[in-house]
Amino acid sequence: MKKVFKWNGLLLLRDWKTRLIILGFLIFLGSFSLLYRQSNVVLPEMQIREEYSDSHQIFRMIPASHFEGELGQEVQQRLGRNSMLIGLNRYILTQQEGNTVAGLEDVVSDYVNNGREMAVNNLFLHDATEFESYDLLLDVYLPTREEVEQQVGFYDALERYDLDFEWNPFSASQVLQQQIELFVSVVMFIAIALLAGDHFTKDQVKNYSVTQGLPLSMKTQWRGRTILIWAISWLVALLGIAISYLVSLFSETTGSLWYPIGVYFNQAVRYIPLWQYGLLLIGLGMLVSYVFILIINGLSWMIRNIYLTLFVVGGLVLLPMVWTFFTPVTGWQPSFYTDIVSVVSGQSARVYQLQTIEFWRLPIIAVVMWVLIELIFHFIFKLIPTQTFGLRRRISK
Amino acid sequence: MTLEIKNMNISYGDRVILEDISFHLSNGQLIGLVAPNGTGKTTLFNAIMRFIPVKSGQILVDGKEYTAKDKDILKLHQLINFFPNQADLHENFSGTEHIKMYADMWAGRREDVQTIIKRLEMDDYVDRKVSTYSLGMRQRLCFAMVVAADTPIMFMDEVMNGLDPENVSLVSDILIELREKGKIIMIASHLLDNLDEYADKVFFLKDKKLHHIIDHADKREDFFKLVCTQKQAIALEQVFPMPNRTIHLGNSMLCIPIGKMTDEQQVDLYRLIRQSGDIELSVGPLGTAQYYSHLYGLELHSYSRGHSNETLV
Repeated sequence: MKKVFKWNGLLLLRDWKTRLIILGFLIFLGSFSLLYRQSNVVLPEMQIREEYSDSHQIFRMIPASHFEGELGQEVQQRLGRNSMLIGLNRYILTQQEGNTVAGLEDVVSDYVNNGREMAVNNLFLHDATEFESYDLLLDVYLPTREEVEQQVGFYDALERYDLDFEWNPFSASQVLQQQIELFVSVVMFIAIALLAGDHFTKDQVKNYSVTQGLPLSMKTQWRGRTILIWAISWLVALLGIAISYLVSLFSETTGSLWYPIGVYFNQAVRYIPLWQYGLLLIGLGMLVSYVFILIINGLSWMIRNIYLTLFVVGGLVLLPMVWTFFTPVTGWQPSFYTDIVSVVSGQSARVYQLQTIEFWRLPIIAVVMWVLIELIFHFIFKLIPTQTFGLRRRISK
Repeated sequence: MTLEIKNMNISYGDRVILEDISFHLSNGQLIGLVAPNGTGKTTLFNAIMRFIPVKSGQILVDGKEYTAKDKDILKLHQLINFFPNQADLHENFSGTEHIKMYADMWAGRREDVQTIIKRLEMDDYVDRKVSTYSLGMRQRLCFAMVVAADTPIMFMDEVMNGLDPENVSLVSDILIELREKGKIIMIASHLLDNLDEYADKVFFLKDKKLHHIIDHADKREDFFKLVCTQKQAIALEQVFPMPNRTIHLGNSMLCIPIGKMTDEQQVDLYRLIRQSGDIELSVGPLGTAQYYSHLYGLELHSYSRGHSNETLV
């Protein structure tokens, strides 16, 4: 294995294709924070403007008679309070002073407390099933109960970590989150596919007689080269992400690495600090990418056609989309777990209506897949690649 | 160490390439493997290395059979090194890196690398990228890689390709040194006279079989070997009764066995030959080149050196 690392590592780094890919991804990842600033994001003030409008609309839509009686009055009071709180938060945001307006703390309170109070009010409204316009509230005004509960959890987490609401989507911590999410969702797969797609193919097409007959088993070479490409990919990724984070620390507000991010666990969204979320995504990404590089490297030996290899890998990455047409069976289906961010955020569980799609299953599935891939290639590597792209069995006794 | 091949049959689908190949080689033997292109020389090497499926037969090293199982193949590859093709070198690597890589992979030591580079007179270019090498430089590098691998058995396919006469001689010398170190070396080559300089035996492949073996250790009959036109050969035969085993090699050589001739007969024949114009004469046993022409019916279509039309007087 040491020989594989040494000589294949040197070969990889000498290859201009590898150098260009590494350089390209390093530049892209390193400058991500600068590139991201050019993107269109929904700023909190834009979002709150819509909520403000909705909160006014609802009063016009609900007949005044429905606000009579004890429950009706309570609902009216909560709606009114929400309308005021949204207005206050809107004012805070327009002042661009963060979560409070200096000198007016007693009047406008702070953004987080206002938000939490609105969420609590909304929970009350969800429970007000006896209210005559309850359906209208659900249809027009209220977010889903899960969303409201998540908001409460989010505000609790902010309070727990003693943080303010982050209204700058370009702050260093926010960009870091976006970058890690983008990397493990898309960029990682492109990087490893380009790096590994023709790894063994090149050997067999361009350097056949120099590499064939090395006194190393195919499996040793396969594993060794997989670890190499995996290590290079992640080294570049982590370096690029670190550079990007440092750049954004200097060019934007820092944000906080303790900022709460929702993670779907035990069939509910819980909030963990951003740094833990980042490590979780990176850890899961490392597992998925290792399994994928094993497959890509193996295919590059077997198929010896980079385009077909990339096509197969693309198919595997996009496999979860199949389950929007067919009914998925269980949360253990490996195909869900290529979309790491959706699994971790709980979006996959929602979209596929399978509450059991949870991130903790990913390492177990990765290990099972690794064993399966090892078994499959144990048999494939017993075959001999022929000049006509086929594989033949060694037939003598 | 010994290398033994027993009853090896090789086919691509229904097409039989080699059948019933058997031979036994031992320490310090240098074997030439000779046949026209497409006859199966490289296939034989590939089959012994298990790079292609072997239909049946056995590969034994030191009496131990190496089957198609992964473990056996790995061990076999530790024992045998197959001469790489110069076109397959890593263009971004230097020659030194290639040699070090092979030394590291097989021999596990790199102390000899500089000695090998000096011995093959590669000092002036070996640290440059391979992409800048000429054909001959690449070929010497491939040879150096195999030497650095230092395996007990070496397969050299077309080792002299692209080498100038000086380098052919240099490589030949090193091959002899390797043999003296006890290596088993098989060389597929079309430099037939060169093979006679160092090969202990020469294997001829024909009709899918190991058709003929020249063993240079055997005592062999001497011939008068005449390089002449067919017309000159016929004229000579008309004035001198040729022995039964006289051989016409293609259209350019007449080989006359002299083992059973008296000294007087040999002198008479010599005089006639000298009178026949520009006939080139050599004396000795049939070499690889002559067997090759004999076995494969080599015709030199370009054989015209402005021979006079004179026949025997």
